[in-house]
Amino acid sequence: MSNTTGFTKFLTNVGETSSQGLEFTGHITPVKTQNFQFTVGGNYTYLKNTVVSITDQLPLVALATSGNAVSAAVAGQPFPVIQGLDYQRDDAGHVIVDKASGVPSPTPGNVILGNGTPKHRLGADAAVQYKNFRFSILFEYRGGYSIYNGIGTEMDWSGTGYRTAQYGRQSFIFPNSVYKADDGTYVQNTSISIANGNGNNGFWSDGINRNTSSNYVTSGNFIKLREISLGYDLPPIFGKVIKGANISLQGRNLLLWMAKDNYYTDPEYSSAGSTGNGTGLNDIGQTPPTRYYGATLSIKL
Amino acid sequence: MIMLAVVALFATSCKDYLDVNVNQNKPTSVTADLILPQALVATGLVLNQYNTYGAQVGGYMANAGGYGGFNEQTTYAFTPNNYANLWAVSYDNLEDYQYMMDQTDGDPNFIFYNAVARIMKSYGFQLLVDAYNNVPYSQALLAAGNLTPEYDDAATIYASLASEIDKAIADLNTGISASVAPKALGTNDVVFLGNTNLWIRFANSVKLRLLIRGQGKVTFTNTSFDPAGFLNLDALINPGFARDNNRQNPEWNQWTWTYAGTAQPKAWIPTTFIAAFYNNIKINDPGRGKKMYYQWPTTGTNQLGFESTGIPKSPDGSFWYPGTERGGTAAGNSTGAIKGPDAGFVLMLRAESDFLLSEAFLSGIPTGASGDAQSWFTQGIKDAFYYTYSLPGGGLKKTTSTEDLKIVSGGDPTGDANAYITANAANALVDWTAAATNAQKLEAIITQKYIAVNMVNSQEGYNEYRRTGYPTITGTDPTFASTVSISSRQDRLPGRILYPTSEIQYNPANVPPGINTNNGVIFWAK
Repeated sequence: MSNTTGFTKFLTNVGETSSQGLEFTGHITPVKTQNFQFTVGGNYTYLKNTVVSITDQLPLVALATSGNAVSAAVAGQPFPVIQGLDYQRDDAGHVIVDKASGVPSPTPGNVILGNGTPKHRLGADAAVQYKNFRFSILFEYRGGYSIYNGIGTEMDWSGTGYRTAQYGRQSFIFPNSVYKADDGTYVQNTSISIANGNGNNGFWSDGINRNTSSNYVTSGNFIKLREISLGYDLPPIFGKVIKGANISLQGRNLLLWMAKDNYYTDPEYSSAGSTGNGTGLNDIGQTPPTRYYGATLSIKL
Repeated sequence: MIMLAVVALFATSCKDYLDVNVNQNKPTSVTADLILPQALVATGLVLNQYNTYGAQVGGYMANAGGYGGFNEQTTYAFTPNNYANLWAVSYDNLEDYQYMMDQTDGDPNFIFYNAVARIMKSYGFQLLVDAYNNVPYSQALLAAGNLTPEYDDAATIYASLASEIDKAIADLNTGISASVAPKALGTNDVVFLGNTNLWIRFANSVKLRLLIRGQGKVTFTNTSFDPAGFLNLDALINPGFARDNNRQNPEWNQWTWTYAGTAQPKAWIPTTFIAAFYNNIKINDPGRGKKMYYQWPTTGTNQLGFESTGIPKSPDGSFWYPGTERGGTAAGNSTGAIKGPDAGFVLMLRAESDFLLSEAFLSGIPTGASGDAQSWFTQGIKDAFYYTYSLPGGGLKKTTSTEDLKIVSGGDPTGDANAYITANAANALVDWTAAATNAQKLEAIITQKYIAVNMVNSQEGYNEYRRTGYPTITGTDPTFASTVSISSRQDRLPGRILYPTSEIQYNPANVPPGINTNNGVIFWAK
């Protein structure tokens, strides 16, 4: 809460949220013989989290922050929403730049930049069993949400960000921008360029770029090859000293397809951890989901 | 205060029968005498952050060689994150004083504590207003009573701060003449060691600063001063700073070495601009140059924003610690602005008070003080030398409260101050008689103040520059503005810092919109 109260924290019941969801699951086994079985199926979850109300003493309840972006509970909005600064825009959504310097300016306050929790989750799985072999595969899709990539600000600061080199580290015209003409109308900007685009100092490393959180909010949608496993059941050996054994190989998080505008990282990589409510943000302080391979040998005695 | 608050709020929300775990290690209320020392020390930490801000924006400090990534600190394209901590630490510290006042209002036994808290609250709010202009004041510090305080007009706050100081001085006088002596401040007062007369003098000097900065723009209800007079020594906060964990002088700790002797980051060095006031480019001052800076006169300097491989690097322990003992666990006991781990932190220099008096005479503000503009100007120069030359053992002795300032001198400040005035005869920045017009006289006063608060209370140098335009940085005078400034102001400096992100997030309905570094400047700005 505001430092001007003299305090920074206040413990109280501040709000009410509602969650509505639908879940479907279905599996079919189109082929089943003594030696061969094939099963395919999927599940789908639709989740709608809404903040019904929060205390009228506060405009929002911040759940987590990363850089200048906040994951917050705001009345009437999905729970949580990502908030941060955007550029000032005209009614058509073009970024307004300064007539002299070509530099855009940030919104005076935070605006809602996206919803921080997936609305749609779709899982698709298949399993094949042939004699003693068993193979299974699982895909997952999550969609309908956004993610703030905190790593982007650090990369822009150090000059390694993709965005900083979009214009060859030269002076450039802010894309799709307008400026305010003397008569008060907005005119498409085709000539006023930002002078310093070298990436070492100037626009890319300055706060106007790095603190404008909308620059780093991307779609969180992804499809992941979540798991593949292959197993083999051994028959009893050594005259039933060992009654059975199973060898299996697994791999998790093997492939990831992300939304086109997300050139940062796996959107599952969240600074709220696995239990926090403040989802939708990441920063450079957590380790990303790991890809791993495993082998298992289990023996029945 | 955070811990206290959480416990207090939690306690009130519980039913009594659930309240079986009273933790005696987490008291829910504290008496004012226990808060005072930590509140004053916290003010020292707050002031250290203001000093850093003032030094970086106000021309005392530039980027050093070997470092990069200064960004907004050199372009002045400030965002709400730049210097945002000033806001948080200021209000946190002000809550300490507000809590003391709430605890002791109307209690004759704690009248001194109430008065000191009230003076310090005014002092702290002036720091905020001078950095942010309009800030929450009348609705601030009410804890859960108002979670989104409205912003008050800066000039109105100034008037209220002066009235609060009047009330504090009246209360101090009431306590002094009370038939039953109130609870003494004693050694809980880590500034004046319980000397209430010095508190009245300090309060007068703070009020004078408000009156001068607000002149012509603020309607003060009472412009007279208590006859006790003005600061007659340097007001230093010193709870017993020492070379120990969390006990070092905060400025020493930030710029030189940790208590364990590890050198602190060396990203900043003095500016070429400030060096000109010592090295005879603008003023010839070999005495203070040597007492202020390491390796003087070959101290490495730079202009803010200029980045190249040739920029001097900062030595371990910085250029601001002038001592030749450069071992991290042995350094200290030095003159200048950063004297040692055990030096007091300056709440207000006597020299600053002197220069305020000089300006009061110049602009016709009655103070009740004797003398004239020239005599206080000269006194200010001498007192500035005095502080620069003093070693960490200066200031009030910690053994008795009546003992007056004893300088533990690293030289001959009075002799060198006189030599300085003689050597710079005909230089209108030093020689009062050479300053013909009132504008030149004001320039001399403010320039000397700018030198006096160098790395001591640097924010005051920046404030006075914005109010008066001195020291001069236009025309042929070299500027301290960054070489890569994007400021559209004529002086290419930022007019102000921005309200912090926390206000935009948590108090968006009240934070003034449309503020940038060029507009919404402080109401007293030129």
